[in-house]
Amino acid sequence: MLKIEDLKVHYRGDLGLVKAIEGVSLSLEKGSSLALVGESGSGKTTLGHAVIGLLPHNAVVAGGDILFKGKSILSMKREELRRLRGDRITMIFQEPSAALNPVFKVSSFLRDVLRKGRGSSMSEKEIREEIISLLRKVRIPSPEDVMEKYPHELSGGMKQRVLIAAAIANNPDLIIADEPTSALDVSVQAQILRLLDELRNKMNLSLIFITHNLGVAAQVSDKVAVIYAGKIMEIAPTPTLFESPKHPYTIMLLKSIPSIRKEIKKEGLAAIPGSLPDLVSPPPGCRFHPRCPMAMEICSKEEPAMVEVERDHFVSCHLYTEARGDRS
Amino acid sequence: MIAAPLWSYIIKRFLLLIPTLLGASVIIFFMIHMLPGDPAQILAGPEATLQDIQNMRIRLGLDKPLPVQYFMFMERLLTWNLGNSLVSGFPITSLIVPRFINTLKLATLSIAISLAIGIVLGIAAALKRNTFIDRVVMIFALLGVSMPVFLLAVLLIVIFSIKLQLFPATVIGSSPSLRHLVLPSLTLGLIGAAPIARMTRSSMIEVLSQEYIKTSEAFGFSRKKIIFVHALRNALIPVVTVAGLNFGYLLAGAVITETVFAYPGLGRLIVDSIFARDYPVVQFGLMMIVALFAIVNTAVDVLYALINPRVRLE
Ligand SMILES: Nc1ncnc2c1ncn2[C@@H]1O[C@H](COP(=O)(O)OP(=O)(O)O)[C@@H](O)[C@H]1O
Ligand code: SF4
Ligand SMILES: [Mg+2]
Repeated sequence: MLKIEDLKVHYRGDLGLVKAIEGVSLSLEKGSSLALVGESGSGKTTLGHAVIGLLPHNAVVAGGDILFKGKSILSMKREELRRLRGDRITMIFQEPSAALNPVFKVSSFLRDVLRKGRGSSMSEKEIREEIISLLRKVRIPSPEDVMEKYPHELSGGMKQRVLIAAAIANNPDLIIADEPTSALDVSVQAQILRLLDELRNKMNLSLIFITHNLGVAAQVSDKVAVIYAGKIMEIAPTPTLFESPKHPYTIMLLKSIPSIRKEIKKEGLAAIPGSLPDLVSPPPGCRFHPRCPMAMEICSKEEPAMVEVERDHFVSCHLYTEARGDRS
Repeated sequence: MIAAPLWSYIIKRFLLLIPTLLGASVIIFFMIHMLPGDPAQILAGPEATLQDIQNMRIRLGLDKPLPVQYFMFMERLLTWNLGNSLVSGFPITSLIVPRFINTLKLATLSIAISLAIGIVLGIAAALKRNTFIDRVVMIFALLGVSMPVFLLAVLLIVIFSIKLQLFPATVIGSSPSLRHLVLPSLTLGLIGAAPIARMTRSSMIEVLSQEYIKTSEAFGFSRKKIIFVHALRNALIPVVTVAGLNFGYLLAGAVITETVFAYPGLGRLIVDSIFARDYPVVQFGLMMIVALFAIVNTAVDVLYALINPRVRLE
């Protein structure tokens, strides 16, 4: 249903081109869920924005394509793309408090979304009923009261539920959730994750779940893609990735999760030494080599190709390419 | 639909007008009495004897202690029994009320013009930020802020009245028509538009960078809807405050404008009465202006609460 092919997205900046996405390929089937995991700054949001056609003005698509149901999103006209958004593809954001317009009641926001998706044929009464039923679907208690409230009168978790209600209002095919729980309390995080997973199954939605936390990814995804500095390092079905991670970066990420069963820590990735490379002039060869404990000579010279190490399990690392013999 | 706490807020705000206006009446009363010059002496004329002046004092009630005089003033105000002008002898009510209505017309039209021009220019500048349009608007705003009222008034008279002969420059008689209102209200409206344009621009730019606008985009709303509904509703919140402040400057500017255009407004009446030492007219005229200003400010506060749900209504 969604196919991203060798996508390259760069930002024009004062110091030069920021190569935020550099050759990413992914695919997602109807009703399945992909977790996109990586440190802050690795290009997750950029990828999400590219899929929904919301890249900022200084972004340049330097190559590749994004196909949604076989049609190229990148070559769509603005109007066509606008109709797709909020209707077939929707997005949930990281900061629910900032993402809701403060001067509109919950009901007017949801009314706008419904009217946009379904035209003006619905009567006020039908809309009201639909709003209440949506709020029920996202498990908001006493929806008749909540719909008359302004965002600042709701808790963070409630606001995120309202945004989720808006995201599912027009029965979309694809939802992109960009760190939807990072700004919430730990106890609320788990509820929101469960809700998203439940809605996805019930409504047969496809979900791209963006997170910097592998522990969170485990709870909502069928498939995990690990992204580092604008490149995919490893993709595998979720259980496989956790049982037999191959890429050194993935392995370090897994080690940095405090304990999977325990609370989901916000700064799960802080434990990896070093920091993301400069994306204006990224390191040659494997982009991870300056931080990689397994780095070999070839790693700084040649870019590793994507290799299928077992069924549906892809890794981009010289440890698994033909070149492994050159290890020194 | 106005929620119950909002109603009680509105009522409270309007009740607060009472102490405000009482305070204003005290200040106005004592201010007038501290002005140099003895009205009794002036009214009695240059030939008057000391006895004449003393008689005049008694007639005007100026021989009584100040607090008593203040209560007499308040009594006349509250019973709307304002007495007669010292100079012309006409009832003060018949002097002030038509002038007040004329000033109200001028002020309302000026505010409307400044809001319309200011908001439109501000939005245009924000949307076309750092382009030619933006620069032109900003220069206009700078001119508007630094331009003296009388200079713009004269400029408009030269262009529209003398050169193009479109609108009359001065009012003849006491009831100006809409044509007479055009140039004075354009003068005040253009000057008032400057701060509103600046505020609309900066507030719009800020609002457009907010996350909730990105949400609107992600949900595929039309650009028109995003700008004129989702963004503007937020961007106008600080503009309302600026417009309220503007109203004060506008009343001050009205005195000059009314003088330049010979417009029969309250501002000019007060100035003329000050020169003629017609103190009762000055006192009651000022009271009317202050009351208008206070009511408008209260209305602005209420409007602010209406469009900004985050206001704490304590
Ligand atoms: N509008 C922008 N202009 C310039 N650089 C940007 C912009 N947005 C993001 N970037 C840069 O692109 C890289 C990827 O950012 P982002 O996609 O936000 O990563 P993530 O969501 O994984 O934290 C970062 O280096 C970031 O600084
Ligand atoms: S390619 Fe080399 S540097 Fe990159 S992850 Fe593999 S071993 Fe490490
Ligand atoms: Mg991000």
